[in-house]
Amino acid sequence: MALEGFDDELIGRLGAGDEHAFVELFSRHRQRLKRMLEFRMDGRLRGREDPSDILQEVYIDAHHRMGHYLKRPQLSFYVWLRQLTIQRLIDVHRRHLKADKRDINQEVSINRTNPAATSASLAMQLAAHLASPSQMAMHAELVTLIHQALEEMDEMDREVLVLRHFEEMKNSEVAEVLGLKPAAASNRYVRALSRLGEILETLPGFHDDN
Amino acid sequence: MANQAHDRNPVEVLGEEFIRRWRAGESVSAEQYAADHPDHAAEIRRLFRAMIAMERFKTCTLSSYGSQSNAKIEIGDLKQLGDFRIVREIGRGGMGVVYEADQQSLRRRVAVKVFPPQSLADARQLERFQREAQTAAGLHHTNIVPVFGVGESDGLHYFVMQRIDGVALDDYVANRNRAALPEAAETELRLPAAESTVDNAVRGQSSATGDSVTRDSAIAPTADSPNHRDSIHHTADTTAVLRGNHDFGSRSHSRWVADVGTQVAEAVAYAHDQGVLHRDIKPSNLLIDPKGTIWVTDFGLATALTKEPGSGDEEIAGTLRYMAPEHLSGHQDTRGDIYSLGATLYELLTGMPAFAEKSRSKLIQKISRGEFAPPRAVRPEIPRDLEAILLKSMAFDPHRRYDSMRSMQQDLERFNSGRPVNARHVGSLGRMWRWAGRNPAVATLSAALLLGAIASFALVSSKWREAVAESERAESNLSLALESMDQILERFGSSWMAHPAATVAENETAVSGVEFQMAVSDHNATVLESALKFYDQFAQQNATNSQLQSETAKVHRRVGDIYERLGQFAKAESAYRRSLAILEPNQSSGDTSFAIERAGTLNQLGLTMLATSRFREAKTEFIKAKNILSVNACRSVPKCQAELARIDNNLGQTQWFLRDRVAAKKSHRQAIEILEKLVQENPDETDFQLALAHAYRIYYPFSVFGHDDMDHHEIRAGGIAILEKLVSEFPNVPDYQCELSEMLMATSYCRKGTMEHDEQVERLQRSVDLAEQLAAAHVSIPRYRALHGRSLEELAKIEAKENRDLARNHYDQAVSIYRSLAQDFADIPAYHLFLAMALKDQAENLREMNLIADAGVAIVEAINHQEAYVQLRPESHFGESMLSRLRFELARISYTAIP
Repeated sequence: MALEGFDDELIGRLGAGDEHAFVELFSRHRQRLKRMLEFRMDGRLRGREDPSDILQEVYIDAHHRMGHYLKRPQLSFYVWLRQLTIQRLIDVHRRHLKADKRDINQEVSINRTNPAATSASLAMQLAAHLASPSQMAMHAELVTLIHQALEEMDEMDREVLVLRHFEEMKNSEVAEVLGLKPAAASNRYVRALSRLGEILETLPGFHDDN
Repeated sequence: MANQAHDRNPVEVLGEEFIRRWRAGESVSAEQYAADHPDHAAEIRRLFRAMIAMERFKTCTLSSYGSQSNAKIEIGDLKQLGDFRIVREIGRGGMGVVYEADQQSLRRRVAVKVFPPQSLADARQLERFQREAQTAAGLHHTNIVPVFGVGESDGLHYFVMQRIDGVALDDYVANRNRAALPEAAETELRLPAAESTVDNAVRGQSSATGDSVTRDSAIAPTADSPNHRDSIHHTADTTAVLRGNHDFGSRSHSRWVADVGTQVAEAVAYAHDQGVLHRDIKPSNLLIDPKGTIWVTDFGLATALTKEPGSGDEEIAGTLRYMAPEHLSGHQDTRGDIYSLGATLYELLTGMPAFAEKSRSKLIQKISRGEFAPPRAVRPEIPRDLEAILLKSMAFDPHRRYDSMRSMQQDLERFNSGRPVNARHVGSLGRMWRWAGRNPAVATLSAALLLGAIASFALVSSKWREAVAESERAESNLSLALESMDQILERFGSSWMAHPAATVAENETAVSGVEFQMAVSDHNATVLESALKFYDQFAQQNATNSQLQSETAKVHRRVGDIYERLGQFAKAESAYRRSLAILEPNQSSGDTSFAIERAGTLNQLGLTMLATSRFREAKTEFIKAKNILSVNACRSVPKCQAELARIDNNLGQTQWFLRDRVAAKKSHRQAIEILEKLVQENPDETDFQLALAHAYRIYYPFSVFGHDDMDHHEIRAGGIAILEKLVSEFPNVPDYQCELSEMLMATSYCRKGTMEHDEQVERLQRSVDLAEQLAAAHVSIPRYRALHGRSLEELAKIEAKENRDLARNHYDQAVSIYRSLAQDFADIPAYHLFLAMALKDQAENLREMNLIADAGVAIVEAINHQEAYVQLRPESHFGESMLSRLRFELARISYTAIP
């Protein structure tokens, strides 16, 4: 993020009773949270639930619990907000998909991402970006290819990739969220990236990109 | 960070820094890192490339989120497009991708909008796209983004425009809605990761060139308003901050919105003068530059990119959310643009769209019913005049909107210069708001009622229950609730079609601007009926509360009126009967308003019987109504007298059908006498004027054909003068136009030789035009369709004397209108009769044209419908004799047909 350590200063101000610091803190992370929601929201809910609405609820939640957090900040502020957001997302999923009894493990699948869903949606996105109009016919083939490669990846590696890029997390944050040591998170990221790079190198339209 | 770094993969550490700078828009490259760290060069190149790829995918995902159409756009990475070197992507919309590009031959920076090949797959579409682009290129205005031309390269079609350094207004709204930030965080607010790519690119450019354009200066007028930040600092309600409603609706914000509106209206008015419609005005098609100038873009593109009408593809061009209701059924003209601009300004003003539904079908449903909350219901601090302008521009009925973009622009200017605007205030409803403000005890209820009536009735009902539950304790509260309910329900009624103002006693709104009315529709009848359940229930529980009784009766009456308009006479009749049943026990009450209500309802009941050809029953009701008003107390009350005259008129028609011509004439004369006096004494009562004109029209045939002391020329001239005046003063009241059309038609008859053929044709043509407009604007109202058919038939009759081909065409149209009416309302005898008569005339014309076979077909159909009529009205002598005549006619035609 552009301003390292700035959160701490704001949290300090907040602790000193400056209400505006809270607004500022939240706004600072809002985009990332929104992106996270967009990525993790169940496909069936898109169009029915607006991530901005969920964030509004998160804002209120966070405001309520802020005092508690300030007393004993065990997590970094973003990771804490993200947790609240995920809790909200789970609630939303429950509300909409309560008929789906099998989703009892939803919490897990959202938190750690549902492996199948993630690789499928990643694959779609990658292929969509790569396919040029003249290659439309190859589109389906590409999706399958990338999908397979992602499937073969370690679940945790794939999640690291998503957190680093889609949620724009730093290595330290990834480590915190996934309960890893920084070195482990770093190595997983490099491994996932290498694997992705290998796949991409073989795809048409990638090389002439840079 | 450094102390952790030794644990981490060194390339990953570098990567973290690299990607952070890359995201911030710094010019960093993998090569540069590789050169600086030769030990890891190979791994850096490989991994960084994958990282950039991931970042790009993310941008892709985000811009496609929430918009299905965007997902379809697939254009590969472009480098060059003919003469244009692509610099970067700056935006993605439903229709195409916008790039910033260098036009190499002219050495200028331009914006190029590229359309995915599939959007112009078909040759006709492509031709249309090119045509529209040429037209757009011909528009030169300071508020229109100049279009330089179109081109094609490698199968991609594109549109070259001037590159505007600005942001789209949808981002503006989005950012206002986001939490507002104090200065310290502004840098970041200006550069949030891609929410909108147009926005990004603009910001990107600003930072790259060191240009000091900030969001705030780009949206200048409000940013320096003192409340802007103050309200953030002082607001305690955190949700309010989040929603960012700190200065939406404030005076300075309102002025800014009006200024945006003025600029857009001026640009679009100019385009309209050139014969070009925009067809897709919405916030994202309006750009604001750092000076605050608004630029309108994408003229006519919406249609250019959809398939030809009738190609089977039901897709509607343009963006649904800002689309006028009539546009949904494919009708588009300048008033559609006026509506869309209204909807755009609504959103800028309130911070939320007029129609916020996410699902397409719900959106269509809401738009096609015109159901949105008035701006001041969203933000009460919005100035009333500005609200009036928006409501007028978004009126459901296109005729009730501004007649041109120019007049809308002028009204916006009037607002901004502090002059009174032409758009009228909302009268009774606005009054209710103010009243509610003064009575906090019921304010909540009223607000819920108002919003509920707009949104859904379910919401209202619970509030209503509460109010009624409290009624024992506070009877006055109940009557206030009733009053406000009544005013809300007024909007669902049909009275606006007959009066310029809602029937509220106060004359505050005795003007043409009752902008709040809903279309008369089955839906609104249903809403009213659901309200009735509650009324009925509470009326039963409070049998002694006479106000409740009379309110309940009134709602039944209103439901009846809607059904009567919709031509559903059986339902109308039962509603009227319910109303009367409630009023009956109170008949002893000497109150004249009770008497008027009862007599009026009886009169309406009689009319439904007249419409269904039950003349004897109708007569009984009219006489009952007359008796109620023939009491001394009514003699000095103008409204009683007017109702009496209306009853006389209807009674007269019934008597005529019952072949009592003398009594009929007498009734009509009485009506005229009463009304002439009333109009003289109450020159401002438009209702009386309409009733007099109507009475003149009904009487006209008597004055022409009989030996009458009233001069038919005077009657004709008098009637037409009244109606022309009403129509020009109140162009929004359909019944005035309807009556004028009828009048022109009725008075085109005259004694032989007293009127020139051309003059007759001219009058009838005007009659047809009026009727046609009404029928088109109010498709659900059979009365106007029938009027259209009849006026065409009359025109054809006159034309047949001079030009049979022309007459044939108009007969055809008349016949097809009647045919659809007879089909839609099979149980109403009159439509079968009208159809049979039109077919008979049509057949005669065809026979004269020597088209014997066609004439035969027409007469057979005429006989079928005349038989249907006779079946529905077995007692009708006229029906029988006409049937014999038709059979005779058939025989004659068959005889002629024998070679």
